[in-house]
Amino acid sequence: MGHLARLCRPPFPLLLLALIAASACGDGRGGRQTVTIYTSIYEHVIAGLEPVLRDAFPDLDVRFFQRGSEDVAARLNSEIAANNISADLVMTSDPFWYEELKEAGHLLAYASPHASGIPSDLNDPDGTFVTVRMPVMVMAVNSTRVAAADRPRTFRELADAKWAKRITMGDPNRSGSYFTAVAALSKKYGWEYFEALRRNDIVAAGGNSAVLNRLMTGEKDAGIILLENLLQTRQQNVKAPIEIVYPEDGVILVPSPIAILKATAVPDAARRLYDFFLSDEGQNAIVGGWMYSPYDHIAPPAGARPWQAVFSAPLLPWTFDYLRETTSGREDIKRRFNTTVLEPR
Amino acid sequence: MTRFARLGGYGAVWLLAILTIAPIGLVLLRSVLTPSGVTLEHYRAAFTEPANIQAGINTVIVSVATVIFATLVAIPLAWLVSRTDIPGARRFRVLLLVPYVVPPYIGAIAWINLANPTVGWLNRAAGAAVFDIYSMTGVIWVTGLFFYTYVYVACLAALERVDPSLEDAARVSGAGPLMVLRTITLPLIRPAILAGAFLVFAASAAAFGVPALIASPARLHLLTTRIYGYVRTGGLDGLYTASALSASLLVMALAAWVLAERMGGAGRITTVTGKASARSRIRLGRWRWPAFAAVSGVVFLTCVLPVTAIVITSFMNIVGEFRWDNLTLDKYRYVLFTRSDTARGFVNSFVLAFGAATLAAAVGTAVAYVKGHPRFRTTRLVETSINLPYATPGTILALGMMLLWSWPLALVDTLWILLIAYFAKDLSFAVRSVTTAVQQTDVTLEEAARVSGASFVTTFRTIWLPLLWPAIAAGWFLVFMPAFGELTMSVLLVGPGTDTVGTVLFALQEYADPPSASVVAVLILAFILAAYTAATFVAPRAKAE
Repeated sequence: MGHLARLCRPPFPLLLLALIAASACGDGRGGRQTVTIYTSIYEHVIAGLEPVLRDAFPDLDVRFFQRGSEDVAARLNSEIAANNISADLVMTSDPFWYEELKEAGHLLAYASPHASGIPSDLNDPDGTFVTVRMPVMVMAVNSTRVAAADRPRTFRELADAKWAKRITMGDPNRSGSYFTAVAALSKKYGWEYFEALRRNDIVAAGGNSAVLNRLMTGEKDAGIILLENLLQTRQQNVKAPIEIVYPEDGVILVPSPIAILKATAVPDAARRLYDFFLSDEGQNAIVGGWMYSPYDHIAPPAGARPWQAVFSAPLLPWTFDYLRETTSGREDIKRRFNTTVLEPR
Repeated sequence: MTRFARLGGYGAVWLLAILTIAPIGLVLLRSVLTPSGVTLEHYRAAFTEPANIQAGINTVIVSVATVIFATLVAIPLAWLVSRTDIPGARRFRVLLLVPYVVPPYIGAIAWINLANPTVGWLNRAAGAAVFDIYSMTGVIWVTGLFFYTYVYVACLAALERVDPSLEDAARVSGAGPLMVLRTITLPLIRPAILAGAFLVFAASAAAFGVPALIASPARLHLLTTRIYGYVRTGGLDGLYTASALSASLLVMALAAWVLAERMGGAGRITTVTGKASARSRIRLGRWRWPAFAAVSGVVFLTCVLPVTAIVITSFMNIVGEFRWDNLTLDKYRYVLFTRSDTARGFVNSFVLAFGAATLAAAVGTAVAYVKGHPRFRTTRLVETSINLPYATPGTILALGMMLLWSWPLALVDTLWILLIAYFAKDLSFAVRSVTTAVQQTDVTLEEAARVSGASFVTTFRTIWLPLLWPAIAAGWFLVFMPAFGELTMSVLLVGPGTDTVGTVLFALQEYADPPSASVVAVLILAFILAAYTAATFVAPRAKAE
């Protein structure tokens, strides 16, 4: 005990205290501008982007705040309410929220030279936001628990009693891609569809990776999930008991925008990053994260069907009318989902 | 004392009160205030929502059931390892304390692996869905397996203070071991049991991690998870509704406190470890080995089984497939070197826990010195500053911190707000640890030094510090450990770049990437157990408190 007690004598803790103080003040980073991006892009994609960004923008310190889209939205909304916005750019997968932000006047209009190649339905005519990536929702099954002949062929089929207690999806209150999926499915099949899913005791919790985990472990047999999670798993883990199902009623499009906030203190740096993500280099980095690009000239992610095959007949076509209509009903859709699927009765 | 020192003293006391009590007051204030005046509107909004009423009922059920479960487990354990000749008593004493230092949400993750209804290991071993962790019973089970330690620690300390001659007298008069236990020992340690039970109730009602991970998937909510939901998605209105819900949680904790006090228990949350006098241990005779098996069983359920489950899971490529070629280090590589948030979380948590512990040890020493010294006295305000945040559910404290530090001094989303929250919540550990040591020290030593002409500083440095260091170190660890793995407050207070290990793990398990969560859980576990082992060496008293 003697020497340890000696360790505890005054100079030692004081030294460590100084260390803490030093680490707390060590954020100066030699005059580089800090740009903060709020995003729902996966950590591993961010990890891949970080070195690319460091090389491309040696004068910028790009920081990511990563959460599920709806968590990001809730956070930014409360920052807006408190008039204390720390985000410079947002890049999440809930397109409706951008329309909302735009209408409330929080987005900075910027006609990026790179955005012109993007289809008009995916590009805000006022230039406040633009689709920067194109994830799609499909289905997946656990291949050891579901025989090839038994796989669901359409989203619609998941409402059959055959799938009782066997299905899962994510939580639209947390994940923008699931919110987009709920909006599309309820529009196409009505809320009776979700009533049926509730009868099948669907587990709707967490984000896409949590859903993937439930399918991998066999906790659930089939689920609605983002294609990118499946592609990545298949790629990294050939033995994973996961089979991709492209639904015959069409994939769900999740056009995921990027936008600059009006409140940003570094608009020039933000515009440069905006341009970067829309450039071929940025797009290829995004496709490297197993998402489709909104440009048809960029190759699809490894192991995915060709662009045209996926986007020719989606569950719902993407139009600005649909965007506006869903945006105004956004809270209602969530509430309806919560009472139909999530809340105890 | 000079006038200057007196002013400084007042300043320090008020600063302490601002850091610790003001946030709680602010929550209560905001829960009845709107721009247009005093109102009960927020309470109406909170309690006309059936889901909130249900959450309140669930909170009471879980807390009461956990108290019963934890007490029934803890009393026999404490008695067996401290008063009987059970084999391996010393080892058991330490092993049974492990859940005291491990964050309960790690247990929740382990038990999700073990007992989820479809592919939980136990259910697969049983060949049927016997256990369903996603239930109220699941919450009570996991919470109880961690919080029994509160009653256990209180009982251990009390049992050591029981005058052995009373028991001996009963034994000589022909009473059997159980008779002695029932008529002499249990009544004597009743206050300690009640104090421990109150702590279990308060801790269960305030717990966030376990219900969020285990109950939410089953569409079950407790007050803490509802409050979290309101804060996260409800905007400003959500914050007010959350304040009203929090106030009811606080009332619940206070009601339990009053009840425990009425029954003669509270007031002695802490139990001073007295001198363990030589005493004969009760001979269990032929029950010796069955008792050994029973205590081993508890250790198996609290430590061995969950730790094994979580460690094996962390090495599995495809979770749940038991094959040698399914083991991999890939997830460790990914979590440690690809994800940036893990390392940041560990650094943040370490810095925060270190800072909070050092601050609390310094303030705690000052308060304890003043408190234990016959020449001075502390005010009620100081006592409240130390004890109220400790007894207040973390959710409320965090909410108050958010309200207090948003304007004019905006600390929201910085590490400072977390530091203040940890400091406020755990300060009492440091104060108690050092107070005990001060009280046991003879003040004449100091007087001798002063009479010989030593200044106050010299006296403090040469007399008090050397005597108090073990207790200060113990207090430091008692703050460091819970602060490192803190989740309940952190989950509300972290912002961009200020994630802690607790919030990183929580986000992985609940939303982003459950397979990686097991890896982070193992890393936290390894760190905590290493620190715990170090603590038992540095300060033997740290574990006994």
